[in-house]
Amino acid sequence: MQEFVRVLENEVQIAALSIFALMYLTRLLWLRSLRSPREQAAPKGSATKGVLISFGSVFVPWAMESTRKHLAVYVEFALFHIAVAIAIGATFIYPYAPQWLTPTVVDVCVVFLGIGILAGLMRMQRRLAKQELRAINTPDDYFAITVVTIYFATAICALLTKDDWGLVAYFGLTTFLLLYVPLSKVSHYLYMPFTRFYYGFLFGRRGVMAQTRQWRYN
Amino acid sequence: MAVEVTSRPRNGDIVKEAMAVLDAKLTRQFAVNMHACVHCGLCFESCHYYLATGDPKLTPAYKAEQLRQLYKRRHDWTGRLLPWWVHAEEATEERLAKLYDVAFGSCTMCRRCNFNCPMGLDMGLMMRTARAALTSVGMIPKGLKDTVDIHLATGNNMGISPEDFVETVEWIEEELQKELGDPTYKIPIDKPGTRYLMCLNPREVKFYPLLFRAQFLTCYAAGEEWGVSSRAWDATNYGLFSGDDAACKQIISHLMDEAERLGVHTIVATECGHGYRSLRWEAQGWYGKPLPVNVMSYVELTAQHIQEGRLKLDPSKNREPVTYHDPCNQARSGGIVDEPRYILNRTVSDFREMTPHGTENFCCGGGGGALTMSEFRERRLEVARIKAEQIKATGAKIVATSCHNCIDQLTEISRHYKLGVKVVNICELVANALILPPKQVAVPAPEVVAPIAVAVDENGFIANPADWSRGAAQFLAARQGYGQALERLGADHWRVVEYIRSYYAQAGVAPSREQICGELHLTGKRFHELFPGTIRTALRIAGLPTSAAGGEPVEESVVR
Repeated sequence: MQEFVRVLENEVQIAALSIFALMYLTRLLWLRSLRSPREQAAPKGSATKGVLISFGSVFVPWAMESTRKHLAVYVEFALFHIAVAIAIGATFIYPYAPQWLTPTVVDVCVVFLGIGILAGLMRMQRRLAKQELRAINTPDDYFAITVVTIYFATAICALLTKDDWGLVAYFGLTTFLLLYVPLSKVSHYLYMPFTRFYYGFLFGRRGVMAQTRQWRYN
Repeated sequence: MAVEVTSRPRNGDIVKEAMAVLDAKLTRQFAVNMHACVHCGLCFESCHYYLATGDPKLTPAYKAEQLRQLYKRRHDWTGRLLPWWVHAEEATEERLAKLYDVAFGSCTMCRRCNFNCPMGLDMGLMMRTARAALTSVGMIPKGLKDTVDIHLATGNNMGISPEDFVETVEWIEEELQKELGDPTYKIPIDKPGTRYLMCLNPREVKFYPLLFRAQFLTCYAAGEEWGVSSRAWDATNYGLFSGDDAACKQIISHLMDEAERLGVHTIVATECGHGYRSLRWEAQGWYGKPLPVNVMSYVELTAQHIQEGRLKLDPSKNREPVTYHDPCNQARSGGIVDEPRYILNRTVSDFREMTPHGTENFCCGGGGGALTMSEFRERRLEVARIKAEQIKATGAKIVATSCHNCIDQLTEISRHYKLGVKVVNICELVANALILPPKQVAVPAPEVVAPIAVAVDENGFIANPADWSRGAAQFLAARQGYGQALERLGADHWRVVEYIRSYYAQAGVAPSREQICGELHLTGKRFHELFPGTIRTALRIAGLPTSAAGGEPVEESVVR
């Protein structure tokens, strides 16, 4: 069993990660092959500042009316994604730097993963309860939230018990996610840097979000 | 819903053709917008369609899904392998009809959701691409198509002839000569080498010439060097709303060629939201090379004039409380947010902001060419409730804005929701607040149109509508038997007459008195002063045939 777990933590992960990387590389090359028309009109503002504001606003919930009005959803988003980062990070730390997983670190990780589970359940509840969200959510959306929430649970199990079956579940699910994510909505993070860049670039240049001084009227 | 296809593609396969256009429009920006939505729902409350109706099918995400589902079936791995898993759908005529309802009837491309999306997804880009695909197969609202076609055929979207344009400009010139006490005052037409070329909205020329009178007046007061062209003067570009880039290019080229021919430095777009955006931000993409001139808005130019101390203003001349509606194409898509406030704070005594305002302002509901799409009128007014509530909360008596589509929609909102507010362009308030030097000399009396006799039928209507002219109108007016009231037709008479003729030319029926009064901001009493008797008095003078009066019995008493 221990040998199986070792292979699952190492060779299998590396193979899955390679397939994952290959799929994303294919997608990025496809995106690169597409035309990308850039606005050429004389700028009224700064594209660079616009891009910085665009990416920065992810961390500034009061910058957008939608997150300002729904701060709880923003907090839930933040905590869910912290848990995602911990769960993914642990798949590398566990086999390659287990000494970092001191009892304190494990406790902190477990707390955040636990909060992540709660956030996942809340997300699922909202998507099921709200008619407007049901109208746009697909089986892929529900499955993605479910599987990631379960993933948090397996991460807790693996970190706390270090039991073989817990590790099999955790790394087994990691393998599955590495293969499934490029095909699912979870890969939104691949596209998000592009969309936020274009948003900041366009509205920054136009002076909507980053007017240069000579255009300012007070 | 059944959609009337205005012109089928040559091979007759609507679906195939529309999808081919969608594929041709596949840019990197569009592709990432198709893939990145996480269906979080944070965009819902940014949309006035959803807020006003509560309809789950009017959320931005749902609307985008109608396009995304077709896209995924063609370009998404999972959408091709397991379409049901991601709700990918094969394109069919029914699906395109649904997309038509969404792209044209349920989204004004105001981009408010864009600014509220955690991913920064661009609904304006998505919906315009959908419109482009639909337009390419003739699935486009007739009113929008006609507006673009008329522009392409005549050089402006209302088919105003160069002669009529020059005549109107000269009339305004005379009005300004009188007002300024300066008989030498000239509006430069087709003058080479002028610094600023003013581009107008045809509605100003046809129905609201006093608006461009106000703009010309402020330029005069600022001592600005400017002029107009009789060949190319229309700032609008409804190709922006139909998604037809070829039409956009043709419209822009017409204007740019003329600007280049005249050797002007800058084109100044009138207070027209989409016109400004098209010229300032989108034109170069369509034109395919650097524009030969700079582009700015009248609002920017006026703010600049005030900042340079070239305009003297007295805000006490505009005492009533004023609020400002930010046109989406100028604020969110154009970056003009501070300038109108800078102007209004120096032009009116009591300026009140709406909540929210600026880039967070709600669309009035008239954007995206919605006013040309009569089939969606009911929905347009229903979703305008959000704007009506915003205006009401300010307690303002005047709503200023800087866009003709907004003006029309806000006027209709005021009437529909009984707000009792007056809707004006910024230039009207600026012109009203101007401190001008005292009048110097008296000016000659306004032009008198000599009557030209034409044949009339038994009901007193013109026998052959093609014989109509302003002289004929004067002749028909004198026949109505109301003495002095119609002895000499004045500016307001001509506004009504031109409106009736234009409405009839487009709709094939005569407008009602309520429609005329609403569009031209006339009270019923004023209308009756202008055209005593029944509505038929105005219809007869406007040269409409008997059939336009609805075939009802005609009151012989008013026919002389």
